Amino acid sequence: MQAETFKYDNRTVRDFTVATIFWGVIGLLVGVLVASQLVFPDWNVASWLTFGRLRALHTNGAIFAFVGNAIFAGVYYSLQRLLKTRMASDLLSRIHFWGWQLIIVSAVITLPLGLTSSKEYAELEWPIDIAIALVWVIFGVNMFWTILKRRERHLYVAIWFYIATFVTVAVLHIVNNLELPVGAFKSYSIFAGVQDALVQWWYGHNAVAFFLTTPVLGLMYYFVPKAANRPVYSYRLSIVHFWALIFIYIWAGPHHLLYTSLPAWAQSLGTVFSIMLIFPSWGGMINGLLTLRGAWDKVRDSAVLKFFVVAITAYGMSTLEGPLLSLKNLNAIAHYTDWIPAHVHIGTLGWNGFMIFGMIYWMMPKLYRTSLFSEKLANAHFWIGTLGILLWALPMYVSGFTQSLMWKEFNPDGTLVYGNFLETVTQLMPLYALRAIGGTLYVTGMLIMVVNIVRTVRSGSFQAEEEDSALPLEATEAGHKGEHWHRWIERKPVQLMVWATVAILIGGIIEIVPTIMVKSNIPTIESVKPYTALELEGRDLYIREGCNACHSQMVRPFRSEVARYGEYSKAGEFVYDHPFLWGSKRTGPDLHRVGGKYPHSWHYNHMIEPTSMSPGSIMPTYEWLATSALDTTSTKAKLRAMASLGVPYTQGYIDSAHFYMQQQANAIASELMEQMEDVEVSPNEEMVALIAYLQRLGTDIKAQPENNETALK
Amino acid sequence: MKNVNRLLLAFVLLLMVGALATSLLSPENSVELLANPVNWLVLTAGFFLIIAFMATFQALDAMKYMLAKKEGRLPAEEPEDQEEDEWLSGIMQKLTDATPVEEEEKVATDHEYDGIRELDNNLPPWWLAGFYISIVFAVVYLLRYHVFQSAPLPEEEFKIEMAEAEAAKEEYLETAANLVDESNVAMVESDSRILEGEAIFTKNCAVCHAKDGGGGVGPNLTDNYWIHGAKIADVFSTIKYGVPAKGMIPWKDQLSPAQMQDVASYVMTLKDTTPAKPKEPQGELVTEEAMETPAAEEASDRSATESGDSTATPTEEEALTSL
Repeated sequence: MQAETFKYDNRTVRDFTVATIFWGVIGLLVGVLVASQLVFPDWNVASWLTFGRLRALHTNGAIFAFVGNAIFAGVYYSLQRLLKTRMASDLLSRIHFWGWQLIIVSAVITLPLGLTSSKEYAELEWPIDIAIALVWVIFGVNMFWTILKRRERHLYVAIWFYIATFVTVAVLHIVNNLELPVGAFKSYSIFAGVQDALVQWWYGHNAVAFFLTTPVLGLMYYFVPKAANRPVYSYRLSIVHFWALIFIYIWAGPHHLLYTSLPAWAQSLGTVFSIMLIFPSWGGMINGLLTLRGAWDKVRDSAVLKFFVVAITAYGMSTLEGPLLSLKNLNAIAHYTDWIPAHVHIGTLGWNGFMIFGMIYWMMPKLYRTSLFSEKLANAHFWIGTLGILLWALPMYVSGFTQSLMWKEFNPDGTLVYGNFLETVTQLMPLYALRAIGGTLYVTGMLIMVVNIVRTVRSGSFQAEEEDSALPLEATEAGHKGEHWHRWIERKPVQLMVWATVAILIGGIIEIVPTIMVKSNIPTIESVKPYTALELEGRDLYIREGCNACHSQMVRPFRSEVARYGEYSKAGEFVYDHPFLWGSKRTGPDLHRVGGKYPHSWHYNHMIEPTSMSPGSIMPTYEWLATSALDTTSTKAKLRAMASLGVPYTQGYIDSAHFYMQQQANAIASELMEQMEDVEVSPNEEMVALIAYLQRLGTDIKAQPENNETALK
Repeated sequence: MKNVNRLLLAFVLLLMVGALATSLLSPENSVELLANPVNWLVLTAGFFLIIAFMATFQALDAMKYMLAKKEGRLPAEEPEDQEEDEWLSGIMQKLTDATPVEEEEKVATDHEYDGIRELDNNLPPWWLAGFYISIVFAVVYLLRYHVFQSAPLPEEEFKIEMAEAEAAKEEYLETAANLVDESNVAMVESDSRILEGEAIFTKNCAVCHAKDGGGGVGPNLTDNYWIHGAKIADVFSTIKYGVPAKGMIPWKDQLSPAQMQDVASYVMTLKDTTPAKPKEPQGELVTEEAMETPAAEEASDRSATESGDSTATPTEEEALTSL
């Protein structure tokens, strides 16, 4: 048979790589900015530059722009070579590339404007969600079409991971973003409260699993053996850990919701599947590290291999730490504290970042037919980056412990030692400063890489079309006798995709469907009523400003939380919360029971200047809430949307919504002016709506005394 | 280096066995310790960590050897205790079941993708065992919490925690010596606490009042003349808030209430002793009968006003509203 010659598309690979570097620097610079804002609250200079809005920009930028583009670069590079064929369609590749960049640009514009759905790592509003789904499908079609055109009969393990990534991310993204639009850039999640929380963290956890882990494992399986020029350690280990990983990972989401109002059985599933996840994850680490057997002497000289070794080690560490954090007793300490960002950043800065840097340093000189401009600079990047990770994570571990211990410490007479939450915040300032320095170092390393890559590119010449040749596939696809049984499915991409889909659907279905269908999972509380129109508008402001980035709304059943905040949160209290706003981090105190705790004027002054009410507070000022008028043009549409999602607003209420809204706003405004003699408050300003919402929070349950008491006992 | 490895292993194992044994021997800990999954995981993680350390040591060793070989300065007496080391590498071999790099062609498959070849080493037995253990853990966990219900779910855990806290608080309120103040202070009854008081007196008070209480800068504490009251409540109060104008510092931030009670009681025992160099009497003569009449009322009045601005911990309500 005659060998066929063909050309690889390197242009798409190069473009995605450049985009990776570009967005990586920007996304991480935003990270440094938000980290600094916690140290210098004055740096929240304008509404669109506040921590609450920029935090989402940083997380989305790091995950979908930096890692996302890198995944595509790596997939386009490796897929063509592993299948010995060019990408099926240059047009789809182009649409994929530019579509993805447009999505990122739209995120950069909308998130600072406060256009957000509030669900973590899925903040983008519905039109962008649709665009993401379309572009993702284009990527999938392009990949699958390429697989069908392949000249290599069997699919290599990297491609199994790419396929699993494609199907799972599609499922996760679509289900978690099921929302009802109420305008061009506003929507409500179709799920409420506990159910929304479960769907969100099934998504959130598996965004980590199937966006930050499986595709990057695929990259590892290609670039590590390539760079080290060593065979992969164990084929059988690849099989076992691949299937175990994708099947088990999907179940682990509820570990983000331990001790919340999520039904206990779902919490337990989250815990046990997280523990069972340790070894499948470590299978990847072992196969990566042991592939370097016999090449350790190269690690000393090669920056690329150094990056890979630290990346894989960081992967191993955080995939052990994660399951341990899923144990209830550790979770009780770590959840809501800085321990969690520390854990996450070992994964992102260490595993994702360093895998990507290694890949770029290895791939770019090849694309430009030259060698790296400076190995020394690459080594400098490696050491500065490593130092940056340590300086980022270690202070946050200390901070997490400190916070947790301070939150939970009691005097022997039963009072909290640090009854004022603020004391536990001011304590952490030096650690937050160190963290910002760590982040700055990490970005500095990236800037060194930029210089190195630019010089490399200048010294070489780009090869957009790279020629290769291979034999075409034989007509027969029968395996040979004595082959491993798994070889069969490696020849069948469609079956592989189907079975991978089955594997990832089981866990999600078993957890989510009963939580939605079985009524006993969310016991009804009679006194819980829908928000008033004004409160609903206030809630949307809370979402716009990203308050949930720093404030949780979930009092866990612990003595320390009940003493600090009040009665612990019940599942039935959130039935009208589209979307849920439980939060995942307490940079500030929990707000679920804040309703009625302070006078209106306290909130007013606190928003205008937080330090006037809480000296030393690091919350940004929200003065513009007092000067901008509440936009009520879509209030009725919002109420109608809520009604169609099952919130019992009557037609009569919706029709007279503006009247009721004005009534409540007038009452609050006049009360405010009574309390603060020298301040003029208009009932139509946004502040009034936000105060209405805050004063409602967690109060419904108090209208039902006997319920309250039985719960306390 | 190999001996170091072995010593390290023996030492750590000894430590682990020791720690486990002691905790198992103290009955109230043992059940909790075994029931706590974190302990198991910490133990397992520790075990792997040790293996990782040993592997690193060995790799370093090998690297040094390789380097030495490369640079042609191979130590003459290289393989000295080869067979001694075999049991250790034997364990490692059993745990990893890896085919050595030199013999890897034996486990090579015929797979090749863009130049990447695949070996087919056995699944590392330690890894496989760990995986099985984690599955067993999962089953046991679910059975415990949801079938046998022998472990508390969050709501029940909360009730237990609250009940325990309530009990502890009540116990504290009943027995806590530290709740004494000038309104309820009485002579301590045990001699040991008088001795405590004497120790505190010697350390802190003797400078001004002399070791035997005869006085110096401060007044004589052994006679029947008192400036700020003769009852134990008065003495306690004087110690607690001091008389800053006359140089007596307040001790409330340095001594706990119980300690102040001890030292006040000790001062009361000094009465009618004979010091070496008694200072002349100061203040009013207080006779035995006068002691019976309630001068304490005054003292408790004072406590009411003065303890108001003391650094006592804020009440729960205050704490919560100052959030």
